[in-house]
Amino acid sequence: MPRARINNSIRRLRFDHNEMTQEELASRVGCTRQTIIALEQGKYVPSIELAFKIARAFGVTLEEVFQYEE
Amino acid sequence: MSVKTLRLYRAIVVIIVAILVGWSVASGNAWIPVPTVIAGIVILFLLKRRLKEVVVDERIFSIADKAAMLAFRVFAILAATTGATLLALSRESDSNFVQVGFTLAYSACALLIFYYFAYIVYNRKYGGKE
Repeated sequence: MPRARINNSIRRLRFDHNEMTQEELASRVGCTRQTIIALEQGKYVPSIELAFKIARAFGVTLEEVFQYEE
Repeated sequence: MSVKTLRLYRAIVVIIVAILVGWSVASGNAWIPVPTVIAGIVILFLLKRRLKEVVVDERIFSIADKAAMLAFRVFAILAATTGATLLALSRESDSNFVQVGFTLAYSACALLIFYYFAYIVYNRKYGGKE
């Protein structure tokens, strides 16, 4: 059975939002900068709560930030 | 307070507590370690409350969960097998293995019992069957 993967567009969205820094995004959503780095590198999949917070920080829907691929 | 300042204060508190506990153990004073450790924990807790930045988030908790689970499994298996081996060896030769063997075996049992009850509590909390 192929492993499902969740990709994200956080890096692109940060640059689209006035080149928002990882530190600034982390501060807005209440997590550490290391977590943002791990998310961008695809090494960590966030909880639903953090995913919603990130989407709201960019003012977009969840699907615009995270993409589920089977 | 910044993370760097917190780390500095934390290191100072840990060093002071370690010195006091080490000295009291060496001098045979049983009354100093407990209040010292409690005071250290309280000071660290109060320092952490003054921190403005986020230093612990869900990723850290997730890592801690995985590390704790691995440590639990490794310790339970090693303690049980080593304890049983030492107890078996102590029957053939009159040695001091028996105390160590029983300590390890009971530690493994206590850990498994604690895990079982903790699992029941969390399973109920997160919607498992009653």
